[in-house]
Amino acid sequence: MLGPKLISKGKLKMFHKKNRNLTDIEKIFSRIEELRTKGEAP
Amino acid sequence: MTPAKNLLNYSYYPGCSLHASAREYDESTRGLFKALRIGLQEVPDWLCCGATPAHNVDELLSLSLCAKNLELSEQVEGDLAVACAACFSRLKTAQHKLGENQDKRRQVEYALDAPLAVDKPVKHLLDILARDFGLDRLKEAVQKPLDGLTVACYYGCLLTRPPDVPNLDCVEAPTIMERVIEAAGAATVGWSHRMECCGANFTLSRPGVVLKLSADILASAKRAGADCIMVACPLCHGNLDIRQKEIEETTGEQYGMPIFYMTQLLALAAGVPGGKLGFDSMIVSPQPLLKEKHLL
Repeated sequence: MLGPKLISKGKLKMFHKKNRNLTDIEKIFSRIEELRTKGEAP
Repeated sequence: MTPAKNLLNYSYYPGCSLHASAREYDESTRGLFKALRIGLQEVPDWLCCGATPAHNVDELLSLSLCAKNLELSEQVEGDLAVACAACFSRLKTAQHKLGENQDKRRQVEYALDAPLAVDKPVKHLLDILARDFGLDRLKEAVQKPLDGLTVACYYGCLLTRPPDVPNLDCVEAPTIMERVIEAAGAATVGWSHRMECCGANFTLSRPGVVLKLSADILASAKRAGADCIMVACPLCHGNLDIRQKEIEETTGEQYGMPIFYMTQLLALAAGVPGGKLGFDSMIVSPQPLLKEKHLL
């Protein structure tokens, strides 16, 4: 079992609890969806 | 006392791995650069570059994430320093693709809701150390030469490929890692698997493939007489270090091969105390080897 060893060494984290700038990420996702809805991006 | 002025200054994109599975890469990078008087200022509010998965499923998303990071990096002076080979590859690929395709530029500008600002030079740490800082100054900065340590420099897939994108060194036969670590006093080996793939993020979905590919890399380094392998990629490090015990159990071979980030060895040579270089975070302990070589 690697998991407990990795956690004890600080190598496993819940990335997105600390992830930065989710606001920008969500905005990019939604604007790409807009482009696709309009048929302007693959 | 006034702190010594930095010789060089960079903006710094650590990327997600350096805040978790590769935190020793981040710690040793900061330690090394401080010792060399190279300033690193982290890009504010940086976000994930999309890493190796995003561009496989959504190229526009991958390009947009990288373009946003490049835009954010404009808030900090200095070329953009990148440690992770995957982040480096994605950022350089985004610059390359957006430089040649007007449709993609227009789509990414829409996604970002801002004019593109993606022209800041992106430099891997190896480039900064070998060219901007220079090997002569690196040699002068060495306080504890890595005498007696024989290193296998592992480039993996991303540092020099594809041609015309990273522009870090020769695509087929790079020597930049060897030149940098030899400047710190180590010996290097010629070996067959220095640019072979370790399996990368198939470590989660196809671990059997990764065990085979990474086992071949460990075996090649051992055959060449290396004491350790030096990497510049958190994924390569994970597959060779974290998976090493599993590889030993699968193959019946004993490697006990420490896998160092390049900055750990360079920082050690530059006089940064071993306790600040994350050696305790490594699964294959490097302590016996470093003690045997009188480096700890």
